[in-house]
Amino acid sequence: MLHTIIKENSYQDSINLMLLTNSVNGLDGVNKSSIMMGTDANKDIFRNSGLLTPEAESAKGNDMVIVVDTDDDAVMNLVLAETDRFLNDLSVTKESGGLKSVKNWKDALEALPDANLVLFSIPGEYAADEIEKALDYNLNVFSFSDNISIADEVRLKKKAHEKGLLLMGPDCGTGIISGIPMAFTNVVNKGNIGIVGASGTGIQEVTAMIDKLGGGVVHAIGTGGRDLSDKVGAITVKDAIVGLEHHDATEVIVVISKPPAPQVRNEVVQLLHDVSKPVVAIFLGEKPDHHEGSVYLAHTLEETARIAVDLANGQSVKSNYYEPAAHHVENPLPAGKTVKGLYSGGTLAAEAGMLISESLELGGLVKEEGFILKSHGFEVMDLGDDIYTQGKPHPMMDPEVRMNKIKEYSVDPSTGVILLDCVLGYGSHPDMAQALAPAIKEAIAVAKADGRDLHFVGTVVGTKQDPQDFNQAVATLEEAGVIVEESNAKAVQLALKFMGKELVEADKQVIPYSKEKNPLPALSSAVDEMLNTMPRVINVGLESFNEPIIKYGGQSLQFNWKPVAGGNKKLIKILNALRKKEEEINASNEKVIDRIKNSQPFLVDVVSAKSVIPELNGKVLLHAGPPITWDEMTGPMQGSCIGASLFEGWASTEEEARKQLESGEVTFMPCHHVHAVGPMGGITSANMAVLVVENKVDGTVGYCTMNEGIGKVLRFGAYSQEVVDRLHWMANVLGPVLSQAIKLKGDGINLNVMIAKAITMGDEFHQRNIAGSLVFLKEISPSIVKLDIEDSTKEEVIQFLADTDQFFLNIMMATSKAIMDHARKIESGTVVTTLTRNGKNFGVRISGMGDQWFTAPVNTPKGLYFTGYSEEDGNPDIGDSAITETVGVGGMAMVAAPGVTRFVGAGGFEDALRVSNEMAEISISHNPNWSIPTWDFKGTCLGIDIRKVVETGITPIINTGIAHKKAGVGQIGAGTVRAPLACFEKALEAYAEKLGITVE
Amino acid sequence: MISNSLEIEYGVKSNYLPHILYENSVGNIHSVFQTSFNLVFHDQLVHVGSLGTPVSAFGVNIPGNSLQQLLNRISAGNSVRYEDGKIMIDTSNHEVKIKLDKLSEVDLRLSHLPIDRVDVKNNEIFRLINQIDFLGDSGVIQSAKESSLLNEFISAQSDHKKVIKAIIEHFFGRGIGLTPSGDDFISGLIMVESCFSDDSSCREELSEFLSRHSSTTDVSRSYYQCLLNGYVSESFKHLLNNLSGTVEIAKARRLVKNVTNYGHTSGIDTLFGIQVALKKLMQK
Repeated sequence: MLHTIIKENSYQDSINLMLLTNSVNGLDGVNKSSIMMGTDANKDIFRNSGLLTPEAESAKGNDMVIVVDTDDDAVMNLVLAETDRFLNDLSVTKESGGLKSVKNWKDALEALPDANLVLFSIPGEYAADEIEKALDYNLNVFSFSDNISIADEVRLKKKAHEKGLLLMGPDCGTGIISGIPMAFTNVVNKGNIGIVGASGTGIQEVTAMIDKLGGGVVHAIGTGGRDLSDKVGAITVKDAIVGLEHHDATEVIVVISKPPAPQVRNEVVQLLHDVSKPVVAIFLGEKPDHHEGSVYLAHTLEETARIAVDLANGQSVKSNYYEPAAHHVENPLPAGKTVKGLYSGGTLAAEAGMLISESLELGGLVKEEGFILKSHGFEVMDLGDDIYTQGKPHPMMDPEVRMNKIKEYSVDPSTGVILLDCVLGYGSHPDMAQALAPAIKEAIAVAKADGRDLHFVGTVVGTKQDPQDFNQAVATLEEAGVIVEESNAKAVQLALKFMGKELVEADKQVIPYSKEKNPLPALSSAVDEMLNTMPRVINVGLESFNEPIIKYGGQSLQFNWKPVAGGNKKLIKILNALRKKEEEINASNEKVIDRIKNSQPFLVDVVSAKSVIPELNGKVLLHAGPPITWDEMTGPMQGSCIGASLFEGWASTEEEARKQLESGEVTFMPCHHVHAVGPMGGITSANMAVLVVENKVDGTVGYCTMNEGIGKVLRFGAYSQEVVDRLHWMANVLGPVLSQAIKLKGDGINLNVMIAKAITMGDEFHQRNIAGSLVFLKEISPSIVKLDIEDSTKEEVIQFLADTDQFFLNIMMATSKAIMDHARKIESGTVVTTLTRNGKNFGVRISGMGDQWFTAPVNTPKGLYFTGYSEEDGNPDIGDSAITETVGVGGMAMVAAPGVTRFVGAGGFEDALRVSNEMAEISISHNPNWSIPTWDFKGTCLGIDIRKVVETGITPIINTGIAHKKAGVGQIGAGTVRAPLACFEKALEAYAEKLGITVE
Repeated sequence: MISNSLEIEYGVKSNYLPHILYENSVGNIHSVFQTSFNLVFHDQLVHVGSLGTPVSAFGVNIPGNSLQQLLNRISAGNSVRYEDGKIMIDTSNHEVKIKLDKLSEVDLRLSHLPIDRVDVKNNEIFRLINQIDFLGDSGVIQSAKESSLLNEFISAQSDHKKVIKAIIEHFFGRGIGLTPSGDDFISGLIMVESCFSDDSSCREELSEFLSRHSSTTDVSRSYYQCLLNGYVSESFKHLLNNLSGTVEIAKARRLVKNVTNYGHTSGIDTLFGIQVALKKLMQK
C-alpha cells in the first residue's frame, strides 16, 4: 500500500533526496520508496514507477514528497524518523562547517563582492534562467547542471562570449581552476599544463594520468559535451584556448573532445595552429596518423597525457607512446567470447568502445539506450547515460546499476571479459571498489561454477591526493579478482588480448605547419582575471562542492537555492520578464515607499462616520476586506451587521435586523473604498464615531472606529444590548470628549512620534498596543482634564482609555490607512498597498494596479486559544487590521514585541527575529521613522514587493485576534496567519499584462 | 606537549627556496602579519602567504584557511627547522609541518629576453607604466637631487658606472616600510638590467655595496639576495616576461595592476625603477 507524506516548502536538492531514498529503501518493511521535490518532471517519474498518489500529484515544486510502498503502516514512523535524521545530519554538517550561506542573489553578491565564478548544480529545468542571471551580474559560470536545451545553451554561450565571460557547461562534470578542484574532480598536482575538455571523465583520466607521470595541471576547463557541435560552434572551447594562450603559467595546452562537427573541428584546429604554445589534442574516435607543427594529435587519453607531460618537461615528442599492458594473457579465450564494458564514465566508455571497435572492426560506435558499442555481442555501456540516471544518482556515486549489470552479464555464457572503471575524486562514492567487490566476486564464482572463465579488467581513475585511498581502491579491486591496469587504454588492450587480439599503435611523425598564423581573437578581462587568480565561487546547489574549493585555497559561498515562485514556470517567466524592466519598476516603487516614509499622520478628530463618509447615506454598512455579500459573510461579520442595525435603530430585534439584511435592503461596501478601515468584521455605520487621521503631506485621511475593549464587542460579532449601549456611549460621550481634547492640541497629535516611542517600548501595533495606548493616554489626559465637562464624564473616559489596552490599534489602523492611501496615489510599481480579509477572501491591492482587488480564500489563523476553544471553533481570517502589516508593523515587526511572540504562537525571541528577518526578505527597505531596538535599531519593514513575495514564496505574516465562527461569541484566541500566495500571484500576472508582458 | 598537529601539503613555492633551505637548517619565525608571516634561516627570509596572492621570490603560498589556522598558532621567535623536505614549526602546544616536497614549484628565475626598442615602445605594459604619475604616487623622488640623479642616469653614456654607484649609494635603504622605496627602485633597475641588458654594472655595484653595508631592512636584503641570483616575485616575473613582444591589453592591465597592488607603494616604486631603466635602454 502506498503512503504519502508531503513536507511543504522544504526544498532539498535532488542528490540529497536520492541518497535519502536509498537510505529509506534500506529500512525493513519498505518495499520501495521515492523521495523527490514535487516538480512536474518528478511527478512523471513517480508515475512511471507506480508511486504517484493523489497527494503527490497535488504537491508543489517546493514541497518534498515522500511516497512509500509498504505493507506495514507502522513503517511510516521509521521513514519519518530516518528522513529527519538524514536531513538533520545535513544541517549539522552545515553548522559545523561554519560556511557562510545565503538564499538569494542580492545577499550572495554582498557576501562575496569579488566573486568571479558561479558553480551551478541545480535542476536543469531552472538552471538556464539562473545562469542568465549570473551572466547578467558579469560572473563566469561553471554549470554542473544539465538538461538545458541546446537553444538555451547557444543563447547563453553567445551572451557569455559577448560579455567576455566563460560559460563552462552545461553538463560540465569536472574542472580545475587555478589548481582548485571543482565539482566531480580529482586532486591533481599544480603545474604548467592547461586543459580544455568537452568531456568529464576524459579530463579526469588525462589529469590523473598527468599527475601519475609527475606532471601538473593549472587549469582544466570543462565546456560541456555539446560545445563542439555545429549549433554551439565551440564558443567556450575557443574562448578557453585564447585564455590559456595568454596565461603565463600555462606552457602546454591540451584539448580533449569527442568527435566535433567537421566545420567546428576545422575552426578549432586552425585556432590551435594560431596559438604560440604547444598543443596536444585528442578528438576521441579519430585515429590520427601524424602531428602537425606544434599541434600533436593523440589517439588515446593515456597518449594525450604522456605527450603533454613530455612537452611540459621541455622534452621532444616521441614518435610512439604505446606501452604494453602490465599484465600478460597466457591463454586467450575461445572464439565466441565477448567483452562487455560497464563504465560510469562516458568518455572512458567511448574510448573503450572506440578501441574495441577499431581493433575488431565492429563498425563504430552507437548511441542508444546507454550503449556506446553494441555489435557482435560486444557491448560497452555508459551507465551515466540519462536513461540510467533519471531519478537516481550517477553511477560514480551509486553502485547499484552496475552491480545489477555485472550480475546480468555474468550469467551470459558469451561474456569473457567485463571491463570497468572506478573513478575517484571529489563527488564520487567514498569506496566504490569495496561497493562493487561482492558483486564481482559473486560473478566470478557463478562463472566458475558454470565451468567458464570470466575476467574482470579495470582501471582506477584517480590520484594519491584524492579524498579516497587510491592504493586501497586498487588493492580492493585486485583482491576481488579484477586485473587493474594503469589506464583505461591499457585495460582495453588487455581485454583485447583475452580476445586474442593485439592492440598496437603506429608511429606518428611531425609534419611541418607551413601556413601563416592568424591573429588570435581578443582576450577578455574577465576570463584573463579568472585564469590568473584563485576562484571566488558562489556555489549554487550542492553544498559538498564547497569543500574542495575552500580546502585548496579558493573562496566559496553557499547559495541555498530554491526554485523561485515555487517552480511555477509561468510565474518564473513573468519574473524574468519583469527583471528586464527592473530599473523602471524599482524607480516607481521608490516613489511609493518615499511617500510611506515621508507621511505625516496626525490624529485630528473623532467624528460621526456619516459626517466624513458621504457614502453612509441611508441603510449602508461598511465592512472589512474586499467586497462581499450578506450570504457570503461568516458568522462574526453577520453578527456585527445585526448589532449595527440595532444601534442605528433600523431594527429593534435580531429577527427584524436579519430580515432586512437578508432581503438586500442594506447596502454593503468595503471600508477600504471610502478611506476607512475596520477591525475584524469592520462593520461601520453612519452614527458610529470614527477616528480621523490626516496625513499632513497632502491631506489624505484615514478613518477607523474606536476600539471597544475586550469581551462582548461588535467587531467580533456580538450584538447584545450591552454592546449596543457601549456603541452609543462611544458615539455620544467618548467621541465628542476626545474630539474636544484633541482640538486643544492645536494641529492634532503627531502619530509618527507616538509610534516611534511605543515601538521602543515593545509594541508591534497589531497584537500588542499597550505602550501606544499608554502614550496616547499620557498625551490626551491633560487635555481631557482641562475640558469644561462633568468630572464624572472625564473620569469615565479616562478610565475607559486606561482599561482598553488595544485602544491604539484602531489609531494605528487609521494611521496606516492615511499613509497607504497617500502612497497609493502613485499608480505604478509593485508595492502592496492593501492587505485585508473579509472572512471568506483575502484581498490584496498593489500600487501599479490602483483599485483592483486580487483575492484568494483566506487561511484560518494558528495560535493560542482561550480555554475551552480550539482551531475548530475559529472563524477564518477576518478584518482590515492587516493594514498595519501593509505599512510594516504587526506581524512584519514581530521582533519589536518580545512580550507577545509566545502568545501569537511565534515561540521565543529567536523565532520572532526569524519572522522579522523573513519579512525583510519580501520588503524593499526599512522605515527609519520607526526603528526597532531589538532589531539592532533597524527600521520597520517598508514596502512589501509582490515580486519578492512570488519569487520567494514568503507571504506576509499577520498577527491577529481569532473570532469564534458563530456570531456573538466574540474573541476566542490570538495568533498569526499567512496571506495566501495566490493573491500575490494574481496581482503579479495582472501587473505583467498591464506592462504588455505575455507568457504562455 | 604536542596536542595538535597541522600538516600542509598543498600549495606553491618559489624555485629559489633550495638556495635558502638545506637539510637540517634551523631558524625561527621572524615576523607575523595579518595575512602572512616570515621565517628566517641564517639571515635569509622565507615568506609564507596565501594562495591567490603572487608568490614571493623567497616565498611559499598555501591555502588561505590553512594559513589562518597557522597564523592563530604561531608567534615570532618560535623555532623552525627544515628536514626531509618539510618545514617544521614548533609552537608551545602544536607542531606544524609544511610539506614543501608536496608543493608545486613556480619558476621565478628571470629569463634573459631579446628586446626591440620599437616593440617596447608599442608594448601595452610600457604604455600603461608611462601613464602612472610616479612623482605623485611613488615615494622615490623627494627632492630635486633625486630627479637630477635619475636624469643623469638615463642619459649617462661613458661614465655610467659612476652614476650607478651614486644612485645605489643614494637610494639604498632610503624611505620607510618593509622594503624602503629606494630599495624597490633599485630592484626595478636591476630587474630590467637582468632581463634585457648585457651589461651587469648595476648588479655588480649592488653586490659590492651589500657586502659593505647593512643599512636596510631584512626584507629588502632578502629580495636583493634573490635578485642578485636572478629571482623575482611572481608578479614582476610575469610583467617582465611580457614586456618584449606584444601583449593583449586586458592582460597588460592585469599585469600592471598586480604589481601596483603590491605593498603600499612598493609595486609603484619598483615600476618606477623599471621605467627609468627602460628609458635608459631606449636612449642607447
